[in-house]
Amino acid sequence: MQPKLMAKSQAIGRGYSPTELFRVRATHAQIGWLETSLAAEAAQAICGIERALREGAGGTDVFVHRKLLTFEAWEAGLLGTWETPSEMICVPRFA
Amino acid sequence: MWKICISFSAPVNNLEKGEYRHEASERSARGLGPIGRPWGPQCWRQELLPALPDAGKQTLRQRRMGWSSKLVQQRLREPRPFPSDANALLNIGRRSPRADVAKPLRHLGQGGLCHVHPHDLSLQAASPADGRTGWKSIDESSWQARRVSADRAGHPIGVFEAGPDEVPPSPWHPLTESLVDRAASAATRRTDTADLQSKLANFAQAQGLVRPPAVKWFANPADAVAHLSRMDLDVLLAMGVTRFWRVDEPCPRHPDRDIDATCRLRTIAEGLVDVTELIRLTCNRN
Repeated sequence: MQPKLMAKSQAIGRGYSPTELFRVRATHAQIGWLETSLAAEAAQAICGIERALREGAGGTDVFVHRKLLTFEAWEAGLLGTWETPSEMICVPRFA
Repeated sequence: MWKICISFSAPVNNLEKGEYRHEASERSARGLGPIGRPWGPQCWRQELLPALPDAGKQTLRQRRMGWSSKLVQQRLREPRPFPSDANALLNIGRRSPRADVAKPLRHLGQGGLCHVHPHDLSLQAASPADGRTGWKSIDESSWQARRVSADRAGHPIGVFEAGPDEVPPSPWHPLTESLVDRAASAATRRTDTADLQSKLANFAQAQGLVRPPAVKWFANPADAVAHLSRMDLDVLLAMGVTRFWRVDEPCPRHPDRDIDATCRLRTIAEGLVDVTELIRLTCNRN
């Protein structure tokens, strides 16, 4: 939401017309739907794994395994991704 | 039951940034002794009484709002008077160069049970007669203090005696505990894009995808957003929503029996991984 609001305020500052403003907002809203924050996914992975293990799942369970891989992607330094049909845009946490 | 004033051997904020860990390992590598921070009443100090449960939230909020320097400036040149109703002082922090006090501190910050190794504790009793000057050391081993707990209302804190063989109970599975530890120490790493690409391929394989996604790297999120915002809106709208990272969670068979522990875990996990980082970096560069 925050990047979208920032884009909107920048567009207003540049004197965009209402139509252009709508396009900016719609564009950034849609970009938000393509975005995944790996930090949020990692936090969710920790909680999801705990819940699954408490439910009786083992450490090699498919769900646990996939969540572990998600956590490891964040741990290895992946900040965020944006999925497009042709490619996955990735941004690292550290240079 | 004791009313305890808690002091830390390092600032909470530094611990959250992993600086304490870094400093400790640096000193260890150079063959130096323990971190030269003052020990005892003159150490970095955060008075958590009487509002202990709020302290964790406050720290997180302060960090999010960029108030980190405020806490750092709270280093005490002169000991401040301890709360008059406190009758003991509890120092938390190891004196070993391989110190790692982030975990107990973090848990303590969230309220609830905090597991601290006896070697990490130094407990002093206060003499009510002459106030702060009357603090005297008590032999740690005689106390066997292993667990510190605080109730939800923020008071009182009790130190419980435990037998020498008792292992501190954890509300979470050991695998979860290890992930929390890993999350706490992941802040100082560098990103290896080749390694990440192979992890993405592994994940794609685990998700049953025929081939891994073609990866395009951008140095920062603002550049990625700028790249996408140049695309036609209709093209963007046709892209749908994220699917790659979605892992369907199995339907729970039992109700959550320890909601407090689950909520605490979520707060800790979100604080450790810094869920606001992506948004912050996107906005900072725009």
